[in-house]
Amino acid sequence: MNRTPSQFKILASENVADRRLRRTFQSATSHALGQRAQSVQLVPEWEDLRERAHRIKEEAVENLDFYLEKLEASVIRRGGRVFWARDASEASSYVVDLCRRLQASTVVKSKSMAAEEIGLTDALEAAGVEPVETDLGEFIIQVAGETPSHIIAPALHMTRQQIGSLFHEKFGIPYTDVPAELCAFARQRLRREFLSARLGISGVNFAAADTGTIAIVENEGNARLCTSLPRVHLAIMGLEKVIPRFSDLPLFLRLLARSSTGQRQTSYVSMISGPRREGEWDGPEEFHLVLLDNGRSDILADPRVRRSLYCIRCGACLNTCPIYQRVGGHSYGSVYSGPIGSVLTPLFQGLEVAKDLPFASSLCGSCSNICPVKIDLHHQLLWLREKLVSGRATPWQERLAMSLFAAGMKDPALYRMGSALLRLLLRVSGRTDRPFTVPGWSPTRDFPALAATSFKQWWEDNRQPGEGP
Amino acid sequence: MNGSREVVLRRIRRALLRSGPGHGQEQGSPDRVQSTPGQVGSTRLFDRFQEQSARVGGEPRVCSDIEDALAGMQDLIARAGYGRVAVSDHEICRRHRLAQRLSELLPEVSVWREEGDAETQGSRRQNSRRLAQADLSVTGADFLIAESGTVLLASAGSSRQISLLPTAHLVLATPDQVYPDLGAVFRQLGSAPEDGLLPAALTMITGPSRTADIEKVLIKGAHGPVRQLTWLVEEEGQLS
Repeated sequence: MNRTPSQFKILASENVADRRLRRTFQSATSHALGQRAQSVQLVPEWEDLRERAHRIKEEAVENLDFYLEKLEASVIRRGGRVFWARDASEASSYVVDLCRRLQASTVVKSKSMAAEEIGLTDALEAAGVEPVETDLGEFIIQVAGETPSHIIAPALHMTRQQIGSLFHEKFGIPYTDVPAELCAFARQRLRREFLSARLGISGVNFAAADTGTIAIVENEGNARLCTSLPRVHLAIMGLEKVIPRFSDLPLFLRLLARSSTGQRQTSYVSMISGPRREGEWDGPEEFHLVLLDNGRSDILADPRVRRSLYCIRCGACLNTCPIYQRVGGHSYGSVYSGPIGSVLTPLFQGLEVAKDLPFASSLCGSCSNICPVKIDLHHQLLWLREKLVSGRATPWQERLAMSLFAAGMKDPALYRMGSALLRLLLRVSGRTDRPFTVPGWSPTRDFPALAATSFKQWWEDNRQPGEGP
Repeated sequence: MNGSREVVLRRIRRALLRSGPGHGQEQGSPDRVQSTPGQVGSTRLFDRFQEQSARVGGEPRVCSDIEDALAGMQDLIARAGYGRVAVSDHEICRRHRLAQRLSELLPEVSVWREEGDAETQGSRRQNSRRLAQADLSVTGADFLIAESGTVLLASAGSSRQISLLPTAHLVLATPDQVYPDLGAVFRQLGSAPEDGLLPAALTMITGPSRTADIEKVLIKGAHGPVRQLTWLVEEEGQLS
């Protein structure tokens, strides 16, 4: 199941041809959009909230060094530890070393896109530690050996029957395709892991610099279990998750819940400030916070794509994207899919590797309209396209066609010559739509049919004497 | 603290075209913590909380006094056939000797109070295992939020697990604990929460645990309680 972003066209064609998968994604995304619309409708000041969130993220990102140092100081003041990781391998090594020190043979893990991004579970397995995914969707795809197909609903691509067969085969339980029974089985099985694991790993939705508080948003309760039962809690976050103030949290919580699941409030929000205090009944004795760069400082360096760091991973842009709705999350060959994935993946993994992703968009702008922190996603996609084109990543035929077109548009004589030539070719080839086929371009695009005569010619022929110039 | 700290910070400063450390906009813009109108403890908030709590499956109920609540618990436990009940050490539970009263009323049910020595790892682990067996837990609350029907629990008042591991979780709260929204709660926690007023864990609970990870079908009780009940004991508050 090693998909890469360079396979986008192949994967997308396969997935588009899979009618069941298309139906799944279309109904799931339209359901999510409906829920979101309903809950957003109840907030008349929604646009104002988006604008404010955008400004707060801007403040954080434009002063990232300041707020990260502040966050670090706050976490340390509360008795926690902070580790700065340049890249994936440094972050993974830190977690592996921690497991060794704790002599932890299994770790329980709640959902974290950052952990997914660095391939943390693979690194743990390679080191002989068993990472147990505890979010139901993540658990299912881990057992299946799959990868997430949606930021919020990782097992979105699987049917209840597939999950039933999977559990039957892997765990030897009687086959059932009743979702509640499958869920009850996972609950029971994972409880044992929670009660014995020495390390719990979680992601971070927001980290408040002034208090050193991390907020984790969820519905199942597995993140609460990961952060309160094991002796040690390690949270991993991308650098951009920092927000200036604890008092900024209510705003972001409102935006996130409504944008991701259409809930006014998720079942649980854990606001964690350091390890267990003296006299408290439970909670971890150690709290570790990993700050992950892994390409983020490079994104920061380009002011045109810098705003992609405002993302709060709500998944709304995936749901609203006409491309994502049809090709599904796996087509993108990366943990980040949809419009935000089409921006982040080329930036994280390199433009060459992911050169098709910026083109996996109709540039309709729906992603930018829905984004709760007002990232101008479609502009960012356009800029990436520009980079790709000026970096000669497009086929030579396309470049030639485009330069001829550009020359023709600048020169009336050339333009007339060009359109006359096209009409001639059209007549010779006996076709009505386009005179010739451009491989890799024509089969997926409609070429506007040429009129029999040009407008200029028509004007000459029909003009009454004395009329117009 | 590690070697990469300086590297990452240097990269960030270079990316932001800055030579030295940056600075935030510390002045802070006004109205950052917004609030819906409504006064703490007002009847309007009380009603709003009930309405929102019911909407998210928080099973709200108004009890005229603690005796009414006890009768309700007796009924709930008998109906659901709960055999093991954990009671937190919250003030409201302690004041009414809730664990003791419940075990007197229901001699066949095992009722225990979460108390004693939390300072050894062994006793903490034992507490977890016991809570994992509980059918019902009864706790107090630190704050209620009217806007979303949310219950807030601080780690200072009870264990984090007592509201998480049992099959059902019952919160006993009072009307004066209802705040309009999270912003109002944050203001109550102090304008400068870095001064230490913030507990190690502050948990917002809005209805029962849920998931929709299998074909978007809503299931209650994914990892946490299947049922979340919030009972408001009227006589306790300053209302009326």
